[in-house]
Amino acid sequence: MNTTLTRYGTLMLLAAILVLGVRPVAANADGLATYEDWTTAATIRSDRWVGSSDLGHERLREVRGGKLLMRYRREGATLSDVGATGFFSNRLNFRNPLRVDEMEVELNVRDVSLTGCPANATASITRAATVDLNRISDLAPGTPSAPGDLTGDHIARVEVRRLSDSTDPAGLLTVRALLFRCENPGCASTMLVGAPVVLGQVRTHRWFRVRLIWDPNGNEFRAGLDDDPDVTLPYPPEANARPANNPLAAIRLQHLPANCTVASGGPTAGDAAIEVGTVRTNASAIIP
Amino acid sequence: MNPSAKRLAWTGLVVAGFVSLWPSPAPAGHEAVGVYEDWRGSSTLRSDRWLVREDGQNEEIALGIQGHRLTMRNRREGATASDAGSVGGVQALLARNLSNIDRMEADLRVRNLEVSGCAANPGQTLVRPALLAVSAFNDGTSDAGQTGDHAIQVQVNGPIDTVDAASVLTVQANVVRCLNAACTIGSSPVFALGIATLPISKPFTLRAAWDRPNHRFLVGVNADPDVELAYDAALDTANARVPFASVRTAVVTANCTAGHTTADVEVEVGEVRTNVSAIVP
Repeated sequence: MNTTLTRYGTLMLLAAILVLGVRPVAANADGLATYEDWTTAATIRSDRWVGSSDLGHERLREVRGGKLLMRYRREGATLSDVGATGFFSNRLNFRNPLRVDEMEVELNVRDVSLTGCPANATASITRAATVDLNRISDLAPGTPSAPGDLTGDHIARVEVRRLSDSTDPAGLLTVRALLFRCENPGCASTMLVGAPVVLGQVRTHRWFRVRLIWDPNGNEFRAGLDDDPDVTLPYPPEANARPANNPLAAIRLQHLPANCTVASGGPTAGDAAIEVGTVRTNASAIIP
Repeated sequence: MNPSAKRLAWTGLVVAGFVSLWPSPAPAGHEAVGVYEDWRGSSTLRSDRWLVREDGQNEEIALGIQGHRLTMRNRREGATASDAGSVGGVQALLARNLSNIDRMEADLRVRNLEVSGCAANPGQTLVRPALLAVSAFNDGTSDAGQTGDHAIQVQVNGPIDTVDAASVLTVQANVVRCLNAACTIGSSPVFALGIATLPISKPFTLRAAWDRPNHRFLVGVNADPDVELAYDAALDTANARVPFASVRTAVVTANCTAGHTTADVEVEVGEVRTNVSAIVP
């Protein structure tokens, strides 16, 4: 690449950063310590984790051979060829999410498959893994909010996803970071805060690390993939008007299977299986 | 059978797998029974036949087809903040029949069962390896949702607090009346205890049928004769508002300051049979 092209590329990068409100920063994993390596018990420890899952089909959350195995499969509805019924998850939540400011998770996507519907413009989405952190809300202090109501909460997420209309080679998934505000109690409706940032792509059967860090003083979350520099997910200070009403820190698999009538080839299906390796957090979150 | 009312503490879980995803039931008859599922037609669960629901808090869970059997497992540990109370976790396999199921049979085998209770909070740590349930009618309660819905449930109870070589499974049946819209609490106006005692390791078959014309349910285990649970005919004023048929596993763990209690169960579900009109080809 000649000097002119290099300069042009640099300008384009800077322009993209300005437009997207994203800037690379130094990776910040030095302060992390091991929260879980799946070796201190033969099963998932209830003092560290809480499991749950939504309506669906096959599912798995089990410790085997020093790793956590998770799988979730969900078929879509067949009543129409329009839209999708919603997102469905299998999740493992940190027991004390209010202590978790930073986390890094080793992941290996063992299998992912999903089908779309040729008669439905909505693509099926499979998130083979997401790492979620919900710590802040923009609701004014004192505003009544029912237990569990996510309205106003802001969830930072790193997601490892694939869409049914992807033209990427098989077994390739895209890692993105995003921040969104929950618009209703169940967070079925959301509004992005800034644009999602692509962190890179990963292949099945290969280990990688994703990172999510909350910096309350800087009014931002930071996210990273492997040893790449973190990117920032900034939010306006007023987004942190008070602590999240329904705080969470979680690892999950999630599917949005498109609706598809049997006549159009339905049902669609999303299926993913992952291994979770060592989970690191800020030291103050660790449960011995 | 004891016809007197017996209120059960459901802890918001036992019937929480009942969801309104099914069409209204057709009138029941004395149909033949056929194979609804033998886990051979597909390597994964068919969504036209099944939907799976997890309720409560399980740390570990597994549900998948292995070698023409469906394996269901759930495990939870108790909390350690007190020596009072308990918490449960349920996994439900819900049939999605297009017509009403009024009879259901399931071949089952317990693959693994672990129970570790609490000396300071005894009698509350247990597993229920299988609960076979079929909805029936509503008693005319005007509230919304499932309030007033009645269902028949055949429940397999595992050992309480500890398991050893002498442990067995006991089978009971309950006519369950939902007390709220989501049926998180219920009463059991009619029940039958001691229907069967089974070794833990031996496969068994559960069955439940609604005999609407004769105002009764019939339940049974293996080749044993049916046990009748009759109800007041005046209660059957309409079809259940939320019809369902399900096979569930449940665990309950006592809270315990001395250390966490544990309940873990893994069950193999073999062939499932229903009245033939409910079969999804």
